Amino acid sequence: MAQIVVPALSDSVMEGIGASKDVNFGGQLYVYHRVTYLGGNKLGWGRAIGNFDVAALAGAEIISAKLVRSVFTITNPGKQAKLSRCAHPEWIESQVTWNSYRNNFRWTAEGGDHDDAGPPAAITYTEPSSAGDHEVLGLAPFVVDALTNRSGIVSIITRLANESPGVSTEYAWRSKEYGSSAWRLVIDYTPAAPTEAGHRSLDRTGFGSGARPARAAQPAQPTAGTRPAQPS
Amino acid sequence: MMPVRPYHKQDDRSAVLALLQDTRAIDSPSARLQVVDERGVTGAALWVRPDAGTEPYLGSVIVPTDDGAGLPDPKGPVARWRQAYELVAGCVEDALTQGFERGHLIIASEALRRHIERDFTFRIEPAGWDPRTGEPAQWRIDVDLRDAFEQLRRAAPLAGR
Repeated sequence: MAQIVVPALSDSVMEGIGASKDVNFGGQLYVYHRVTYLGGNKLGWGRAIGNFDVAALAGAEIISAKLVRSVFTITNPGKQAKLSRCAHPEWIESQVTWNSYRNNFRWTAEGGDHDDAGPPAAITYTEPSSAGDHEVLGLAPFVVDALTNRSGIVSIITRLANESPGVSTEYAWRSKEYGSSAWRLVIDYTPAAPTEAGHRSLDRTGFGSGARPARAAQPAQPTAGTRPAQPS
Repeated sequence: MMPVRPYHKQDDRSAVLALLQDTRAIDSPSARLQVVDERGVTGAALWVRPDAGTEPYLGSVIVPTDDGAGLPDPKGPVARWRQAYELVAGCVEDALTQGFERGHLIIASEALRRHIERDFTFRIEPAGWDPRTGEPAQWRIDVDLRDAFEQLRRAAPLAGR
C-alpha cells in the first residue's frame, strides 16, 4: 500500500450576503464555512470550495481517503458540517463567487451546485472543538468518482449542516495560498499492477511503481505542488 | 472620561438591540459588546471571540451620526469618529484582557479604507476581489492588538467629535 498527499489545487470561499455574493475570495490565505451574526447589516454566510487533482492515481486501487484541514479558528464548536461533490468542477479560483462558478456562468443554485445524493453521497461530519489538524474520513468514493467520471478532479463544497444556527458559528482552515498547512486529501492506495503499457507510462510520468510512489505525485496533468507521496 | 463601557445585558439590551437590530448578534455566546453611554446608550460595537484559535475579529460599529445612528461611512452622514475609535479601542482592550494578541476586521468600502489609512498605520491587504476586473473589493486589516489600542487612543482625540 502507498499513500499520497494531494493539497488543494484551487480553493476559495463563497459568501452569500449582499454585495459579497459577487465578490471572489480565491486569493485568501484561508477558507471557511460559517454563519456569523455581526450586528447592523453585517452578516457572514460562507461556504468553502476546493478542487484536488488525483489524476496521478489513475489505475490505482483506492483503499481510503480523508480530508485533512488545519483548522485555526472555531466559533461554536462541535457542530455538524456537510461535504458534497461540486457539480461544476470547472469553476475558476479567481472568478468563483456565491452567484457564479466562473465569469458569465452562474450556478443553477446560488452558493454552488452540489450533489448530496451521490454517488458519492455527501458526508456529514462533526466539526472539532479545538484548533489543529482535523480529519474528515470516508472520501474514497469521491476519489474513485473523480478518477472514473471527472478527469481526476475531486471537487467539493463544504458548508454548515445547519445554515441557520441562530448563533454565530464558524470554522476556518488554511487554504492553498498558506502553503504547507493547506487542506489536503490523504489517500491510501494500491498502485496499478505494472504492465507493458504501465512501464511505458512510467518512463513518461514516473507513475506506476509501488516501490517509488513519490513519483506518483508528478503526473502529466498540472497539480500545483502535489506533495511527494509517503510510502506507508 | 470616555463614555465607552462594556455592555450590561440587563440594562442595555433594548437600546443595543435597537442599534444592532439582530438578537442573534447580541445573543451569540461569541459576541462581545461595548457601548457608548451618554446618559443612555447611543452607540455600540461588537467583536467576535472565537471559542478556539487566535482570530478575534470586529463586527459592526454603530455610532451616533448627524441624522441618527449608523455604520461609520466617510461618504454618509457625519459620524462621530472619535466615538467610533473609542468603541473599537474598547473592543481591543476587551480582547487583550481575554488573552488575545492579534485580531482583524474586514471592510468593504474603499472610502472607509482610505479613511483608516489616513488615521492609522495598519497594514491593509485585499481580501476579496471583483472577479471581472481583479480589483480589490474587500480588505482585511490584521493588527497587533496592543499596537492597535495605542493607535486608537492616539487617533481618537484628533478624529473630531
